[in-house]
Amino acid sequence: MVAPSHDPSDLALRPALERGDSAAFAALYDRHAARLLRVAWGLLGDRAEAEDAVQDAFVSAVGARRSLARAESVERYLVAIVRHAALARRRARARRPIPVAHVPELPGCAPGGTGVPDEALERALDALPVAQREVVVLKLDLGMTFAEAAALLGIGLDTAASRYRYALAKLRSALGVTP
Amino acid sequence: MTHDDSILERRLAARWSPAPSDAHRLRVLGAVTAAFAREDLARRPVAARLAWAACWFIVLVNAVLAASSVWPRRDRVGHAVARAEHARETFTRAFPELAPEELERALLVLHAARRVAPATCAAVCAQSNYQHPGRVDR
Repeated sequence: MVAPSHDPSDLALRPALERGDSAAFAALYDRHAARLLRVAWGLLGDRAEAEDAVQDAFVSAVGARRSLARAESVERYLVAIVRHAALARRRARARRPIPVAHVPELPGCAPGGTGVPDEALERALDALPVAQREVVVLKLDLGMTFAEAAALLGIGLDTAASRYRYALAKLRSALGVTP
Repeated sequence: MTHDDSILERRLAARWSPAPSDAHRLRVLGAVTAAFAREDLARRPVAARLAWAACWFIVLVNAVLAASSVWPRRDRVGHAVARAEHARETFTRAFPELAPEELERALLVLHAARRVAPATCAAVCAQSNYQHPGRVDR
């Protein structure tokens, strides 16, 4: 899990963000890009698409900078935009024809990663329905509580918790882990 | 939550994920700069339209002012002369028996009844050398 970011200097950035200061967006990228990229990667499972989703999110944030500057949590707001961008990319990908020569990206092939590549785990995650997958990503990758994840996803607390339980059960089954 | 779930959670949390690279940082910040530039471009035509509207407003105000003051004043004299001639011709045709002085008097009566403009009467009087009762300089 990437270390949680509760940088109080996000507060100091707010006026500059609202003014539309490019330097403030650069500071925002430096603080939150790793976690945002992890969310996008968790939802898309493809490095290039995850990077594009983060880029889309930052471009959207420029247009919504007043809301961003006034948001209760700048990071949560960015996570919500990244999630929307990633889901839009998933929908677009579902409509695109799959090229014959397409080979799924192996995490170990991509430079700049952290941790140990776990191909089996990635495949199992990729097989999860997106509704379950995003609860796993928010809970485990961002360290959110069920209440926080439920608020961000606009679902009930019990729904978030049950999606997480179903996701873990499917992952256990896919990985051959017996309880 | 079982023990296996805890192990699975740890495994999930420790899985590989891409780290932001310098190239990605440059690309995102470039896209942000481009987004700001697009906003500026989108705003510029509005400013241009406002300036254009302001110019037209000034032109229209000038035109209205000119129409209401300058050119009618210049035209009023010629218009009065034309009306005077028309009135004279009409009266001459209608009352051929009237002498010129009587004709001018009739026009003045009409003026008094606010049917003929004062400028008309003045122009008619000037043309016919008629001495207006109110004028003492002739």
